[in-house]
This record gives sequence, structure tokens and C-alpha cells, in this order.
Amino acid sequence: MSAGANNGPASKRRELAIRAGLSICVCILLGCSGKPQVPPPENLGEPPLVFDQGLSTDEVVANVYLDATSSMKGFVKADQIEPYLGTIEKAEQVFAIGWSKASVHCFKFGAKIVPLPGESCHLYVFKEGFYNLPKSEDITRIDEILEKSPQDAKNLTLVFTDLYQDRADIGRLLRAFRDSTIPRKLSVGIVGIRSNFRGKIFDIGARSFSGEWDTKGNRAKFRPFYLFIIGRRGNVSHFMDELFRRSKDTGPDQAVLLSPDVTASLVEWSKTKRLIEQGLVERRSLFQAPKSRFSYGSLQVRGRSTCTLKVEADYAPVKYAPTLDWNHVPQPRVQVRTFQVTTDGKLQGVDLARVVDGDLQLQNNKLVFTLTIHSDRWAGRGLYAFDVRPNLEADSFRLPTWCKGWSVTEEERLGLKNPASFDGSKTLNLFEFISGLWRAMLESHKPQLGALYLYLEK
Amino acid sequence: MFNKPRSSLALPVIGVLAGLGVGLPVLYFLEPLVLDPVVSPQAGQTIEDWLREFRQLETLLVILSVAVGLLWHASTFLDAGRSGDLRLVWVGLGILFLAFACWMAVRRLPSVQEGSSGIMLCVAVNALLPYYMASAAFTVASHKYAPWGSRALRKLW
Repeated sequence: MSAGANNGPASKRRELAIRAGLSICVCILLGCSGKPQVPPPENLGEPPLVFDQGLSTDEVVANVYLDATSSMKGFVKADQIEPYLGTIEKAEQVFAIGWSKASVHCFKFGAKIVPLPGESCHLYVFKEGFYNLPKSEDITRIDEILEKSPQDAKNLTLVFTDLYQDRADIGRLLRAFRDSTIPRKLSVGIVGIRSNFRGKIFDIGARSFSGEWDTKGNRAKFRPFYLFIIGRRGNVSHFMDELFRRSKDTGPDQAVLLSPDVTASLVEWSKTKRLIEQGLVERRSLFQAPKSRFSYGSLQVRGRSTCTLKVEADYAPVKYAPTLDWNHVPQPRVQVRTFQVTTDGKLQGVDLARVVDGDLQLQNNKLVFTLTIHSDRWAGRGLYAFDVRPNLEADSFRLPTWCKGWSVTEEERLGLKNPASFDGSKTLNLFEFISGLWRAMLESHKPQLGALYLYLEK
Repeated sequence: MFNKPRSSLALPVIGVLAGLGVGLPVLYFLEPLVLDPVVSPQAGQTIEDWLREFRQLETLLVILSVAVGLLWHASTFLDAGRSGDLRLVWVGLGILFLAFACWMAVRRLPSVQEGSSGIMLCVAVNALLPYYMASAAFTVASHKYAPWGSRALRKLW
């Protein structure tokens, strides 16, 4: 037999083996180098952020403003001046004990602000003539305080007032908050306290009668006054903690903290617990990982007609802040923005409204996101990026019940024919004011609960 | 007791090397390609993490499988071969180890949403292939045809 005939099939086999080997190598090389590079998640949209980390400062400068208008006189004319006097005193104690370095400056105010010497503000409320403001100045102008009081990081502004404001006053006050407090990203704590009272209540009914109100120690008739605490969230929250620890007349159920943040910790993919991943597989190696300060999920869609992703994230509400409540908010509760990652690693917005449904539930202080992907309606193959975040509106939050329970509307006030029929245990426009301030804060800061960033390969 | 030529002591060693030489590449290079597209881990676990845990457990099983092969070699060294070739022992060892491997996989592997049958197939391969490779072609002459398919395998050899 010739050598050529003998080597023919063997050399063919060898050649085949070499070709197969080379093909495998090429496939492996292509597979390794073929991973697309994707843009970091912060490129998908405006990244969520926490404005204020909620830490108190070591040093605090407290500016305490006492409402000296005639409507406040009733709190000190009662047989017992408590809890009005005690609350001012305890607020001063908070600064003495709650901070390593604190100074207190006292002021009284009506239409004008008058500084008071010394650091013991509570002693002034007994002083003869404290409430005898000239008629032209006998009006509660908290807006003046907001404009003039220093509001930098270590300052804490405390205002003791009965907050008796008609609709025009509320508008002026809200504008002052909008112009001075909100742009500085400061928080506003409001503590309601009911106290003994014997004195006049003004502006009752359409004809602005005045009427006498005497609580005579009857707690059900106690008249409310309010303590406003304006400053950095950490300082406001710390002050409220310390005050509630010392005072038995008020507590967290009579307080609210309106802050530029709606969460103490942002929702992020790495902090979620995945409950369901039907038809989806988490795969780290789908693309070349982008450098990002946000975590993200990378998932692969498996050949199913409908895929479901359900994740649970901790909701870290801001202490004393209005609570999340979506019961009154129409759908959708979740906003899903979708992009296709192009071959050159850029993002192109795509409309997957028919393909992706998002839902969000609040269950036992957990945010449960559900994303349903109708894979059968999704034609294009490739890599997609998703930005999933809760849709927040002012109605998504519930103010504490006392805000409404202690409030009288303008209509109710105007409808009163007789001063004796006025309920002195309530405050005019309290709810309108607090809800208005909260709305203004939300609209200005547009706070976020966080965002789930996902990259999906189909 | 020991009635075999001293040179036959090399056979188990070669068997062990053959078992590991086939079992580990199959586990590390072939099975990920098979399992990756069929396995869906439970929510919260990436496919990479699942495969890593699978590899960790199965590496142990491949080593144990080769050890069972050594057990087979020990039994052939101790047996004169006058009352049969111990095929029943060879089959029995294989079946027992397969059952153990499946039990281990069910107990120790992270559960999955999909792909259980593919996983069990790979577990069976990892349990039996190293054992077979360690025993089939390298059994001493007195018992060399006890493993199924050893005649054909030896022809290739």
C-alpha cells in the first residue's frame, strides 16, 4: 500500500480535529470579548439622593422666639401655667444636656422681633407687660422670624406660638417658608401641646368677635400651642427626642417633622431581598460592569411568556415624618423607565409600556416592588436598562391624625354666629398650614425613596 | 491474602489518575455549559454563585467516586477470583455511591426553580464516570471483565 493511501483518512481526521479545535478557541475568544460595555446606572436618570443624613451637630445655637401677642396671654393667666411654662423650661434644659456645646438666645415677637437678655427665656413669660404689645404690632408674624433668624447648619430656631392664622396669614407664612427655609434644605418640626388657658380668643366668626375661654383645669378643653423647631434634620430630630424624654405633656403622637427627605436610607438593588424571579436569571457576567456608586441588578430573560420579578426593600422612614400611605393615590405607584443599550454602549430610550408592568406595595414597613415582563410582547433582543422607582406625590403621605383633629377650617370659623360656640381647644387652619408646608417641601425637593436599576438581557 | 503480582499495584494509581483526569474536566468545563442555560436558581442567587456551589460539592463527589474505585481495587486484590469476578460488588458499589451522590445533591445543593433533571443527570455523571474510569480499564487480570464495557474499553487501550 502506498504511503499516500495510508495517510489519507488519518490526515483528514487530524485536519478536522485541528479545525474543530481552532473553531472552539475562536468561539471562546469571541465569547469573552463580546460582552457589551454599559453606561453606569446614574446615566439612566436623575439619581436619587438623601439631602440631610440626619446627624446632629456637636454645637448648637438656639434662637428661642416667644409669641408675645395678646392671644397668648391666656396661657399665663390660667390658674396653672402648665404645660406651657414647663415646655419652654424643658426646651431650655434640652440644650443644656442634649448638646456638648449650646447657647440660647431669647426673643419675643409680634409684628417685630425684640431680643431678650439672658438664656432663661421661660422667666420672661411672667414679666409685667410682656404681652402688652402696641396695637399695631399685636400680630403673629412668624414669617419675620423665618426671614431674619440665622438658619445655617448649627442654628436651631424654636418658635412658641398659638399659630392662630387666617387664610391670608397662612399664605404669607408658607411663602416665607418657601423662600427662606426650604431652599436651605432645612427641616421643620412641629410639636403640639395642649395647655391650661384663661383668656380671650380673637377673630371668631365672620365679624371677628372675641370670646373668653377658660379651661378650668379640664384637659378636654386645654388650648393648643405649638413649638416650631427649624434646623437641620439631625438637630431637629435630636431636640424632639430629648424633649419627649423629658416631657409627659407631649410626645411623638403630637408631633410631625417635615423634612426634605422622605427616607433615611435609599432603596437600592443590593439592599433588596429577592422574593420571586420567575423566568429571570441573575447573572453578573452579562456585560462589562460599569463603575457606579449605585448597585444594580443584571438579569437574563429566559424563554417564558411572562417573567416576574418581585423584590422587597426596607423602608426607612424619617423619624416623626409623615408616613407613606398609597391608599388614596391612583395608580401607577411605580415609575419604570426603559432604555436599550446600543452596541456602542449608549442608552436609547424605548417605550416598553405594553411589555412591562410595575407595582409597589407597602407591607409591614417593607416596600414590595413587582415587575411583570410580558416577554411574548417584546420583540427586540438585546440588552436593556431599567430605572424603577416609586412614584411619589404629596398624597402618597399621611399626616398624623392630630393635625386634622386639632384644626378648624376657615369655613367653620366664618360660620360661627356666637363667640361662645367656638371650640377653643382647636386651632384655625392648622391642617391647611401643615399640609401646605409639606406639599411645598415635596414640590421643591422632589424627594425620592430610591431607585432600582436593572440591566436585562433578552 | 495478597495474591497478585507487585506490578499490579500500579493499576489503582493509574485508575485514580484516569478517574480524576476525566471527572474533573467534565465537571469544570463541560457541565457548566450544560447547566448554565437550563438552571434557574432561586430568587436572589446569581447563576454564577449557584454554579460555584455546585462545583464545590461535585468536586468532593468526584474525589469520593475515585475513592470508591479504590475500594473496588482493594476488593479485587483481596479476592482470588475463584468464585466469580465480583461484578455484583462492582455494580453494588456504583449504585450505592450513586444513591449517596443524589442524596448529597438534594441535601446540600441550593434549590432551584428550574433545571432539576439536568442537575441530577450531571450529578449521576459525576458519581459514576470517575468510578467507572478508575475501575473499568485498570482492574487486575483476575477481575478485569467484571466492570461492564471493560472489554471494549480495554480494546481501545
